[in-house]
Amino acid sequence: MFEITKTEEGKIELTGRFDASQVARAQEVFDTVKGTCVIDCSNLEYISSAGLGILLATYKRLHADGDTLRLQNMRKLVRDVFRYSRMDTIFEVE
Amino acid sequence: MKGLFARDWAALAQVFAFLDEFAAAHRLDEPVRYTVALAVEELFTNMIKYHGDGAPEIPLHAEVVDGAVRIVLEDHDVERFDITEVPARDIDKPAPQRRSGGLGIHLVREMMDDFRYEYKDRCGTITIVKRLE
Repeated sequence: MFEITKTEEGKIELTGRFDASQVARAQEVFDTVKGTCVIDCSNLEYISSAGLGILLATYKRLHADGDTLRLQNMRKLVRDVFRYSRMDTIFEVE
Repeated sequence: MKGLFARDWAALAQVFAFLDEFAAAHRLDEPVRYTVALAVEELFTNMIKYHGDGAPEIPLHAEVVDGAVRIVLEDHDVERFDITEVPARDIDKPAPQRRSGGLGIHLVREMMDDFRYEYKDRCGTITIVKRLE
């Protein structure tokens, strides 16, 4: 199960398992992001390289205008994937 | 345990269900479950992406042996492609120069204790091992 929700304030909430089969769905939402965006990961249970790829592509698009992605409330195992991939050195991880 | 999965993105949910059942049967802890699922996803989806014209089904074997989880994926009717020889990615480059391609193999190398490839009779066999603490 995977859910991606964009709140009225523009925050993105990720829930469940963000795997390769969810890329198209997630891409649709991330394509609407403009400006620095907060991503709430408190209910994100799993992410693989497919999810990281979407985040990296979004970051690159935003970074060209001086904006960024701010990831909040990551669980330990999800945070480990960011650490192993050194993605934690790109995004703002809170 | 052995499973047989369609070479199709839609089969990924069944692969995860198979791994969940395997993990429950062996009472694997959450970090092991996560890293094994991630490694299998990366390898299975690579077989879909790069060997789309291979055999329609991908056999997957999972066992606990000698204090470790051992997973074997068989890629039948394909050309030889030793995924373990894919060059290491430079993951310390600045963001604008980073690509997401190859990141999955990097994660498999980082998170598994062994990662091997064999090729025989047009079948590529990938074995990954995760030691249990």
